[in-house]
Amino acid sequence: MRGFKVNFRILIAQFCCILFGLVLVLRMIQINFNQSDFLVEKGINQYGQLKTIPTKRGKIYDRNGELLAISAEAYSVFVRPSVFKKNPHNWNRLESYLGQTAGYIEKRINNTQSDKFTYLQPRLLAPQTMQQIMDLELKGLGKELRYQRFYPQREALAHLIGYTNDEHVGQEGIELIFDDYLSGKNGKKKVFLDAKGREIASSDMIVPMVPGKDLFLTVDHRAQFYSNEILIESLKFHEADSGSIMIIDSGTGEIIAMVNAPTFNPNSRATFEAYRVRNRAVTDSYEPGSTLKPFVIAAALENRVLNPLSKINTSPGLLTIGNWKIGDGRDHGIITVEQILEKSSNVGVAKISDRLTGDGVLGILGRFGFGEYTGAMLPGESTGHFPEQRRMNFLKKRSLSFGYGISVTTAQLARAYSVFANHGYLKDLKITKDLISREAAQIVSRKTSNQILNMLKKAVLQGTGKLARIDSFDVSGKTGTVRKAKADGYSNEEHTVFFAGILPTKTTNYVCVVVIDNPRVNGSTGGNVAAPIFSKLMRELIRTFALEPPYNSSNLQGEI
Amino acid sequence: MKKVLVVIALLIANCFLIIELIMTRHSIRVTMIELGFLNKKFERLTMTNESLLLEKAHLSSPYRIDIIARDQLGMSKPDSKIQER
Repeated sequence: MRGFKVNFRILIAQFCCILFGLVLVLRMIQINFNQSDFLVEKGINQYGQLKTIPTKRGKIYDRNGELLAISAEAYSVFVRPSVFKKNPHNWNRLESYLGQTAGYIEKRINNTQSDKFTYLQPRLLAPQTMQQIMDLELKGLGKELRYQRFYPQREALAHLIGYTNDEHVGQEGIELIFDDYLSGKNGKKKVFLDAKGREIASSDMIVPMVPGKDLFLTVDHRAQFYSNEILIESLKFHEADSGSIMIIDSGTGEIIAMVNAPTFNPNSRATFEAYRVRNRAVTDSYEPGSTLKPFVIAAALENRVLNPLSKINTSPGLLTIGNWKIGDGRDHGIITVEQILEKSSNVGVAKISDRLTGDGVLGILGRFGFGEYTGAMLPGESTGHFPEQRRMNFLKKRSLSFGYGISVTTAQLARAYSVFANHGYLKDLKITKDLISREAAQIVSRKTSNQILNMLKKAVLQGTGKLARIDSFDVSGKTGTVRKAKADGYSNEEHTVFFAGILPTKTTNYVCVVVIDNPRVNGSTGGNVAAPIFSKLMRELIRTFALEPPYNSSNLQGEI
Repeated sequence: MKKVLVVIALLIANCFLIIELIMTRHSIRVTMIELGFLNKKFERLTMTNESLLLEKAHLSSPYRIDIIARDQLGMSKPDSKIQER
């Protein structure tokens, strides 16, 4: 009996052990199969860290791979006034490295109310400059690493490239419209760190990193530089308010240069005033004046109502339009259509427009791209003012024929003139090589286009555009001088002047439009202000790019 | 006896596997740490490269070359008048 009792207890104990073991195994199975995901995640959350995988903003290059914009490390310099004041030696060297005038540091420190850290200007310095400053070994001076967008070409490409803010987000220009492409996206992943904070393991990307891509533009930085220099020089010489220059390759629609003045330095926020930052070549529109005449004449030729040698009586050199009288300055008498363009006769072109319907004139202007976007897709681009068909009447048609009653941008004018350099085809403008633009559309016939081109050539050789001439090159072009509109009518003193020209070369044809707003001295017409700027600039490009005239100077290249 | 030997052999093999696992995990961590150092070095070199690109662009900018040519070398453009008639 006693033996039986001992055996029973052992049995119970064994049973309990087995049961306990079974419970453990079942619990283990439950944890591994039912709760494993939850527990693994909990473990990761306890020992892992979320790490941001940063991406760098892409660089911007010109058509030849020259750097136009880059994000690079920069440094801020700060001082602790109470310590820094005690060692005033080498302050003058520090001021020269900062690009500040003598006495700047003393003034900055004395203006500080407390002993807090005070930053010295400029806020962002290149690493080389920072190293020079640190080599001075000044006590109480420190540095802080930041990233900054740098624009090595400075003012020359300011309007086109634009700029970013402190968070590296594009605010204007190319930086704005290609912001997503350039900036990419930061990624995120979980990492495990050891006791010393070193990464020992990592999981897959929670948010995949998208790298910022580099961008290649169609502009040439040398063309930009010369355009900018010559424009600023000319504005000073003529005491003008502002100006724009645009150069395009007529065969491809690529923008080779686009500058405005006044301009700004994108590396220095102090220059970011609204009137400087505006990209006038695409945002500002003007009544184009005589530069519109070739298009009206093209309409007449295309519709075969006239030919280049048709005669028009412009006597007495005056014409009444409503309450206004328009004149040619002198009585040209009976002249041909060619001569009307050569002499820029307002009376002549108004009489040409009489032979066209209002729809016909507006239609041809619309086909040349006026009143629509150019395809460049630059921020703030204006389509100008295009007259409404239902409001067109005989008087408006006449004033439209010599460029009043419509407003166009510099970019639209350049694009429209490229049609004559392109045997009648209109192309969209392009600012990057990768952009796919629409197929070129035939606006006028090759014959009409060549006829207009010949007239424009004569306008430069014998007409109002003489100062645009360049030896060995058959430059074609048209001047324009427009009285500026005021609240109470048109001003007699203020003008906007234009020259739209075509430079034919062996490889391609360049169209260049120069617009100068309100020149006050040393000339006040397109012929004596804008045309010389065209000539000077094109000569720089001929020299820089080693351009040659076409084989046969009466034929143009640029076949589609 | 045979069974005991088999069990002992299995236990020894198990120990070796455990040691191997621990060493592998350790070498992975060491590699990850090295990778971290290399990544940091890569980032520093990338920053240096970009600083050099910026310096190159600054040195070769027409703006700077123009100033050096005029102010330091006394050069002038072929047609230096602002407006030609």
